[in-house]
Amino acid sequence: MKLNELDLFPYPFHDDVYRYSNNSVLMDKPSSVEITPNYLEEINLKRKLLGSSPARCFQSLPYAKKAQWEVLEIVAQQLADSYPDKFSLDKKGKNWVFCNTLLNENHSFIIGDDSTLPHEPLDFIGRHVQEDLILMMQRDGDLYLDAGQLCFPANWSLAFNLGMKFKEIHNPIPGFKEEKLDDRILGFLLRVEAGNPWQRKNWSLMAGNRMDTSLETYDQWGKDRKKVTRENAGEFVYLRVEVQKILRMPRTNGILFTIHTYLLSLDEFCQNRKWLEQFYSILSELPEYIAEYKGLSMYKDQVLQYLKDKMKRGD
Amino acid sequence: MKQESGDTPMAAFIPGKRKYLFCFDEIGMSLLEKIMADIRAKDIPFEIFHFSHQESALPAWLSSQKMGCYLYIAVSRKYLYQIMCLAEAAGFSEEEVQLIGYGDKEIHLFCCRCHSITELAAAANKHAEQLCSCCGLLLTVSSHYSPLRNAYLGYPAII
Repeated sequence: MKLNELDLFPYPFHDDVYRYSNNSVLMDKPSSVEITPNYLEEINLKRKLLGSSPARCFQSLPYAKKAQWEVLEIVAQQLADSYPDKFSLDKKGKNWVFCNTLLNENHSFIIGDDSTLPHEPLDFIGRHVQEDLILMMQRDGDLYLDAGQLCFPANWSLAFNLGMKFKEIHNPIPGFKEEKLDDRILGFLLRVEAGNPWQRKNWSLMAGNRMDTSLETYDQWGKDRKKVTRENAGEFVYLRVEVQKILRMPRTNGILFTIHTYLLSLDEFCQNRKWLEQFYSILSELPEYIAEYKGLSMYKDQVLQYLKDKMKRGD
Repeated sequence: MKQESGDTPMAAFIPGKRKYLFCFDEIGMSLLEKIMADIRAKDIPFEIFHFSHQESALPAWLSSQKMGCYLYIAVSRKYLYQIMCLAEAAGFSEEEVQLIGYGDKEIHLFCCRCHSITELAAAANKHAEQLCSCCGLLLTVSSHYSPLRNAYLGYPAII
């Protein structure tokens, strides 16, 4: 375990009962990305995946190029402002130089000129941050997934979802449509203002500690769910939390979603007694349709037994 | 875009347009005959385009049309989606196009693993498992549909 992983872990629960909701909150300190101690490890993994599976990890539609440049500008500027000891962005007219001292890389390019970058703009800046970056463009009163870099998906396919409207993307979530949550969240997103970004957390359980749980590789990692036992759950099962940030881009009026994925083994998670007790309550009560969609039906009972043992022992 | 439905395709005449455009293949022509005869009789401007699947002049023909046209597309269902996309790209709105497809209906299955498309007869049991025609993964057909891919998402059937 990394030194302060438990302290950094974004605990996602507020109540003893969990249901789907729009749990977005205004960010105290607006930001699009965060650097954590896992930076080098996760950037290396990201770049490896982008190299070996480019179509799985990056997709874009041609008309989103201008917005991609705006994503690059927002993220690079924020890195330089928030982490001046690690990043810098030097602008001389259209000639920009982006320096990443963590990777020992300097990139010179002409803003807006695709030929001066080694990758498409969103793909370029995504290779410097741990977050997955999803760009949704607003038109005709709807949001369309027009570009994205996705290396650490929670079992979905960027290649399939490309070009979809917001509600089409979320169609498979049980209860989402029936409870009109799709209407409410879309309405909320359409009203997000530039300069006032929002943040939400999403969670699931994972058998294994893979970051790249793409739908494309589900046939490989999905079977690990069958291996969970009451005895191995502590070290084999991970709580997976996505911190999703939602920013309106002032020039192109698109929405940038950044998704930072955190994994923590149940053994580490349970070191916090309050977390252990609350998570036990949530999981005990969790409706089957949510457990099924989050992919934890197959081993929910084993995890509950593990949590119960942990509470009894009081350790 | 008015979609054809059912097994017996029918074209419906939409009156009051400035000009009518007919795009059809050999069989599709017979499905538009009555409407074309009515329009000829009324001396309303129209143009026709004989479609063949190797056709490359269609985008230019569609793009050269002016506002106020109404487009009928009557072709094999195999090419209907492709032509519909060309019409959209040329700037036709949904209200300006009528689609009349004939022949076997097909659905496309998107393989979650290799992104290939497998064509399935719509008559096939959607709940049955299907092999990806490219990587051979056994897939279940979901109801999740991508307009861009014109395909349903296939999930691994066995985990």
